[in-house]
Amino acid sequence: MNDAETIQQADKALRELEQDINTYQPLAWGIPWDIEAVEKMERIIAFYEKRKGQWLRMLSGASEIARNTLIEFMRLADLEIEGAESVLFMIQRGKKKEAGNL
Amino acid sequence: MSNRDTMDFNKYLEYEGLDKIITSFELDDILQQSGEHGLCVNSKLPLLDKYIEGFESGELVAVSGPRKGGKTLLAQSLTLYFLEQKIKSLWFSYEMTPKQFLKSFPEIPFFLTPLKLKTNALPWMKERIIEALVKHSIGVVFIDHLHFLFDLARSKNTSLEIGQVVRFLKGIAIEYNLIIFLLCHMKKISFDKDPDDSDVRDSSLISSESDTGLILWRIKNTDNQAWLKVAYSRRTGAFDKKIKIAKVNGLLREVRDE
Repeated sequence: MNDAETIQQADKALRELEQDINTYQPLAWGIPWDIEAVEKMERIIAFYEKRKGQWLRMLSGASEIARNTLIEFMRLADLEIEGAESVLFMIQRGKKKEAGNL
Repeated sequence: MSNRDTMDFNKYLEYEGLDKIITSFELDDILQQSGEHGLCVNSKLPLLDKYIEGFESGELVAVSGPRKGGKTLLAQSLTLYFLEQKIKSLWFSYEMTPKQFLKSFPEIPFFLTPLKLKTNALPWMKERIIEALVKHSIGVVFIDHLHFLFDLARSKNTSLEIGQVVRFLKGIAIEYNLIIFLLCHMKKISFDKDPDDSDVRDSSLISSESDTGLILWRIKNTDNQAWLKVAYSRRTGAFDKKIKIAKVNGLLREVRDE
């Protein structure tokens, strides 16, 4: 893939990522403590892990500019994953509290 | 049908995991949207490029031949030719000292290599490949050579172990969109026949697991010439094609007979 294609694909992926963040962010902050919320968080994590895998593969033979862009996306994805994991932790903590184990 | 069967049926019907079953058309859509076009680089050896149509990401290329036949020199030449196409290479050179290895290039080109090498350590090798991919966006990996990747002394079945190593490397090539060149020794062959992929030392699994097989050997009574044979190319179907090459100014180039 040439530089222009890589950057174009990365830009497209970024736009999708922003859309995803807009879709998922309110879920992360206003979720009820139930199984549906757990599934949503797990979906977010799986989604970004998959994206990270794709971006890692796009690094092969990429130019320096494309590499920097892709690395930045992977960092963003890591932040999202970290956020979803902390929400999952809070859900589990809430459940334990409910069950009287905390 | 029992309750349990019904539950399992629903589980499969609603399954949405990352490994779910999809149609070939869905797969085509996903691949087009993902932007993963993959690499294709040329060897800059015109006949070789004609026969194998360049090297593509996800491929494992086995390079074999008798001792001193030019395997390492071919890999070094390709390192430079790939760099001319802006593709960086990662080298695991076990056969020479770092100093000897650098000196063996006519002029030191840009390539990546671990500061220290570990033998018989495939997980370590995978980590270094990912490091080079993330830090430098490599497209190609050269491993010189296969027999340093497993413990010969402890090996109970060398052939099977080689098969596992080759499959592991093929997996890395696919997973990270890389082209991996694996240099392998050849067993002793008689002088009166051209070597072929059945002469590769220890394992027929090398030829069955790799995408392209290249074999090099020196041409008798010449100082600098060798044959490069495309033993097989799964992608293009090329088979048993011979190309005359020569060492010119420290690199291998194609020789065109007038």
